[in-house]
Amino acid sequence: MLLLNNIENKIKMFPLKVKDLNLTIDNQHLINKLNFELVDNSLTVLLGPNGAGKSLLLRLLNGLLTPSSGEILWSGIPLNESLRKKQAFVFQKSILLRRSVSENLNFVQKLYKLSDASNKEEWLKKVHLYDKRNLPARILSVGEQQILSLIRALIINPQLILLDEPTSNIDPISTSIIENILFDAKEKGVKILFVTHDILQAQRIADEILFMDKGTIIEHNKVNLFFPNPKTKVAQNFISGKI
Amino acid sequence: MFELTEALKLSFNLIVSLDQNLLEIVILSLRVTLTALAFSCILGFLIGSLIASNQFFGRRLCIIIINALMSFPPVVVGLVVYLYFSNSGPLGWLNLLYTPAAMIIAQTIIITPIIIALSRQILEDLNREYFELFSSFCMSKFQVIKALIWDARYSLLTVILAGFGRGISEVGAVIIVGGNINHYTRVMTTSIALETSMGNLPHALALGSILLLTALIVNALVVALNFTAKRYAFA
Repeated sequence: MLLLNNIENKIKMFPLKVKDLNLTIDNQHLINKLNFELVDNSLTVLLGPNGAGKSLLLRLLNGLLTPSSGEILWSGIPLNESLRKKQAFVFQKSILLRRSVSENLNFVQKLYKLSDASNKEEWLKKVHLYDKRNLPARILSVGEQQILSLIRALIINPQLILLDEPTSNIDPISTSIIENILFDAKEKGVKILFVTHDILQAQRIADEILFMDKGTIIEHNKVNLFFPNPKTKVAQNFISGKI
Repeated sequence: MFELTEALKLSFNLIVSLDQNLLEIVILSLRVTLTALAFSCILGFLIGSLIASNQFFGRRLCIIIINALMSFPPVVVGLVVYLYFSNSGPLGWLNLLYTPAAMIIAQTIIITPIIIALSRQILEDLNREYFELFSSFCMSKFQVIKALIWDARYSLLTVILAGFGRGISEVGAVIIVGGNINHYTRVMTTSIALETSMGNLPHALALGSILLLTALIVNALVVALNFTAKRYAFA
């Protein structure tokens, strides 16, 4: 299968170490002394109540935001352009170009100098968008748009994919397609960092949970250990639906 | 009323008989305006996209100045160009005064702020929409500008139309720097002014009708293109 090439000649990105990370905007401490470590080849879900700083953390990891202080080290190296190009970002509201479905994929293929056109076609067939390849991307349903955003992210063969609540506004079928694509990607060695509010989804897809509250990580555990026995009161309240 | 009807009849005859003088004036008008428009678009889209996609000190002031330049009186532009290109001016040695080239320069100066201001607004809105995506792709400034202009191309047609309208209907600057010389720098607007002052209303009306017709055709083309864009081009 061409869809997701095993990552060869890769720049080693993991382990990811985040040390004393802070983000302050207008005197508001949005990310507070955040410390954690991630290894590759797993699906990590970032969980937490609204305003916990989950989306900000994803943006900091991708370099879309610059931290006020602290370090983000990818296998000991600070984030640089070549490391950023090994990451892909899927936003909560899909950002699609004013072009056709096919042209949206061509755009990243040209940008990343990828020559494999058949890979694009295979992806489109796999997610049932092949017949819609010449349609404007913006007239697709919200779910289809998000699926297109995901395959546009995966077509560049990233080592890490960051997803900011990609399924929060879409139907269960599209959610299921997205989850299956992510499972395949994980099998091929892509590290996945997934933000969600959906506890059931987190239980379904996660290998490990990073639980955030008020700009800091308060729990980091395997999924089978986190849900039956959350250690903090905030996590307990969140799981029981109180916050 | 009788005079007007007569004038309209005569102007119709001039148009259908493809009067040589009239044709010459129309062709020069289009040549001057379209050339100026081409230069303005190259400059305007580039500057507009640079302002739209960058944050820098004095950006707001820059936008205010460009917006103000949109209503810069063409007569003043004509006067400035005249002073620069007259024999005693700093660019007098180029011998461009009273040539179509001087008219193109004057029109470029008049049209460019319009292209910059309107394209900046369109491209800035699009850049706001694409910003995080392009940042996550680590795109260079050049790649961003290229993608923005390409994706906004159908909206930018309206900007080109506005620039064309401003150029083709302009009279103050071209009459100063062109001199309204018969068979050389006489364009539709300067000719209309001259023929009216001479009492030659049919000729003036014929030119006025062609000016209107040109604007109508260009508008129709842009509307048709925008319609196609909505159907096929994903705007």
